[in-house]
Amino acid sequence: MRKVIVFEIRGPAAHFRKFYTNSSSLSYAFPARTTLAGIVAAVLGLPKDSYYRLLTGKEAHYAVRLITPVRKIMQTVKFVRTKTIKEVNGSGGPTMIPTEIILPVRGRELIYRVYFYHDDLSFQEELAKQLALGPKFPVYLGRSEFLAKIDFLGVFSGTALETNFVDTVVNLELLKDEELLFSTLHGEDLRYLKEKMPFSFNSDRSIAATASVVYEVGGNRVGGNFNVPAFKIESLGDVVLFMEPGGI
Amino acid sequence: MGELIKTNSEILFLYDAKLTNPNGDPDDENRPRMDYETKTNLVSDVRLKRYVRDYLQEKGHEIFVAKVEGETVNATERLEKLLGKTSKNISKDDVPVLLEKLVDVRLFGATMPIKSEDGGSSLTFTGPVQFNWGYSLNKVELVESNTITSRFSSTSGNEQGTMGKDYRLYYSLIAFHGIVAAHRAKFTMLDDETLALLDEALVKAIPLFATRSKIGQYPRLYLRVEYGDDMTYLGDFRSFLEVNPKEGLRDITDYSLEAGKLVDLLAENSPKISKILLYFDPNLKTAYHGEAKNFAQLLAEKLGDSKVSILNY
Repeated sequence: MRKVIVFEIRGPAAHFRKFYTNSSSLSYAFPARTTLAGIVAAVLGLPKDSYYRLLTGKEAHYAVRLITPVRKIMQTVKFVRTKTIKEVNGSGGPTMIPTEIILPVRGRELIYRVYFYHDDLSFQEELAKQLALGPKFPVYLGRSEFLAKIDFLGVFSGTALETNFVDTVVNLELLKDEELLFSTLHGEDLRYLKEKMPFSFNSDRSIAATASVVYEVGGNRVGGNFNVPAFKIESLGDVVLFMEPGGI
Repeated sequence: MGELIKTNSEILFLYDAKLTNPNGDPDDENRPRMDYETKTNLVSDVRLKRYVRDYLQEKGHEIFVAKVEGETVNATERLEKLLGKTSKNISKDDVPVLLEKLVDVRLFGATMPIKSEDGGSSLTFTGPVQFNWGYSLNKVELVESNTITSRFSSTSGNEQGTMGKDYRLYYSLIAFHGIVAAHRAKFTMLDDETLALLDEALVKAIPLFATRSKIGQYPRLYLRVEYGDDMTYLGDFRSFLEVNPKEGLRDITDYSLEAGKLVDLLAENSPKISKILLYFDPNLKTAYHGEAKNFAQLLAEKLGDSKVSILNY
């Protein structure tokens, strides 16, 4: 049976830049698949721009769960204005960039639980080993000023499960006819937000594919008619839907 | 240059702000940055780095992201001046010389207009030293009365001055968390002497750069925990701190900082810690699980005298 690496990434605040915004920096509520790839690369100490094929291609599989419900605030940040490369030392004056910052609804830390497996088993073993030791490069929640910490939960096996409710965010491609469920089994309302996110990168960091991904705003499970079975990790009690089409 | 940094560090830095504006939001009439839902005062990482850069520049160090002698020089000209050659002749081979000269790039990284091998027009260095945004450990209230008068008039010939806005908060105990990443140190040649300058700058810079809106800020506690290896990070130390009481504070004498959990965390991980550099203002009342205790004595007690070195400037 497939084994899955599970870790949590936590920090006081986050910013996951939306790729289609220009002057204002708006943020997703959770890391995109490409961001998760960057976090895995940082753990292994892979240099910038070196890992897109390995970590955003078909062999890499990701799922993410929001352990803490999130909220957003706006802050305007003074950056160095660089219309031309000559101005990187601040000589072009400052520029004010409205920036959306993600904060936890309760408590002081955001927590995201990440599930990962790779078709190359030796690569997967190497990652588990490094997670146990600690990341090589420091990890962030989207930006270097949102430092984060990784807690390695372990490597888990699981079983396929036909279900309508999963703990993770859901790629809309995994829904039959894009059909979400809007109430829980107990009749409570479910509310979703959809984020259009980068899914994979070309080797020059340009976007190769995007995906529409939904999460439940109140921290509940996402309900829907899925076209693939979910993956149940018994010892954690987590029901996981990986983002990639085709299922685990 | 000293020795290249080979082990990680984590930083906790507390300073307080009384009747002042630690960091205004330019799009919010320059009001102090606030997360109003939790009454938390925020300070950006760039504000903190600016104090460090200004301090180091004042001390005569070369800074990349700075005005030079009040004159604005663009980045290309700046590199030309530093290296004494024309930009056409500047290449990747000059990077070690530049890093040796530019203290802020060794610490915080930078993007520089130097042609890279893949044909790009710039080289980016990620800094080994990074800070989270700072936040207040207490709940912060803004001063209600905000209007000031100025002797400057809006048009010449006017007899009256103008009215302006000046937003301040009553009291904020601001906490920053930062890291020093050993794996990044080799890319910017961060050495132990430069890191010692960072310690000094953080402790000394804030009271020195007291402009009208920044007066009333003092460093209260600085902790750089140096680990024995290049993999350890214990995480954000601020999560282990509480102030009691948390609301209605007006002054440093109004509360005590509960540091029991943090001290326990450091004591438990003592084998991973090679040393702790500490600056502590005894005016900051601290407690260990409810019992009043001087923080410096407490650390020495729990981790051993030999591990704690006090920063005296």
